[in-house]
Amino acid sequence: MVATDLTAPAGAPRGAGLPVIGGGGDASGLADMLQQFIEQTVADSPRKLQRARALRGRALFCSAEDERVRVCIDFAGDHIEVRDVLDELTQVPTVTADFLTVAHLTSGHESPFALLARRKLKARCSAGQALFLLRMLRFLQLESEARRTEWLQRICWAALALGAAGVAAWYVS
Amino acid sequence: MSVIYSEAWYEDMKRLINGSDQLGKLAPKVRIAFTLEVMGDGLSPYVPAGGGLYFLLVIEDGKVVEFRPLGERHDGKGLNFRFTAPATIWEAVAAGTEDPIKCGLRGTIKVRGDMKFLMENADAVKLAIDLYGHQGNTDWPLGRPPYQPRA
Repeated sequence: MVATDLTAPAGAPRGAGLPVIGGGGDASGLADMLQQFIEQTVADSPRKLQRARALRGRALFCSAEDERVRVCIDFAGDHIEVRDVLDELTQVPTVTADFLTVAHLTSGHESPFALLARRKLKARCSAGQALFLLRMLRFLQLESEARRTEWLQRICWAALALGAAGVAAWYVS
Repeated sequence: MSVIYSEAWYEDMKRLINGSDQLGKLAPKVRIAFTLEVMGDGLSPYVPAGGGLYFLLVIEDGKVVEFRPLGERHDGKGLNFRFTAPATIWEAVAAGTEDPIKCGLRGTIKVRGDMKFLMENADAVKLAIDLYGHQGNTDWPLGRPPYQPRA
């Protein structure tokens, strides 16, 4: 289903209980679209709202089509800020992808792991930031797809735990 | 060849989009209504500076059922998307000299609407704008982009 109302002025808050702050009229298109996407996501899903409140950290989204377009998403708990970045940001986990890849990721047409493996999605982060980056990418996936990814991850973890328990049992015996 | 923004041009565009089998398969089956807002920027000879041209497009079941100019800006009721850009940008896209995706990412084309839907149907959107940008069937009686600044 596609939402059918554009009567509110651009940038008007949607009353989700979690402000998503953007750069206004001066924002790049990527920043503007990501801001609208996140705002609509948390407004439409209490589960996503809860997840967004639990996330803490920053990530940089870089456009593969235009290296000047770089957007930082800052999850602060009580708000999210989406802004263009002009300076070099170090120590911030970074994702670089083209528009279609971002769309395929958020819509769940492709998993982040598959996109990373095919180098369609390039990620740069420290080991400590990897979990945040993964949680953020999962937050950005549409509800149904995020759930599927989550279930797959749970199954993988369960299989891993079972395997480890089996190996431990075999070793002890 | 049809003159840009003429009645024949809208019909050509409609035929072009409806003639694409690939788009017919990729496009969502729901009804989507959106406007293209072409804002006069003082460079385009087709849109007066400070003025604007507004087009309504309705796609249903993967086919364009309506493509017509509006007398004024749409109030937004029942609208799914609004694409706004200076005339120079729209015309450069139609002439195939600007990449609409890059324009969208930079923000020279402003997009308002249901972003979740846009992301889910990005392949169809990309195909539609590629058709628009590579049709090569537009006549430019007052000159084609890129335009030189007017004195």
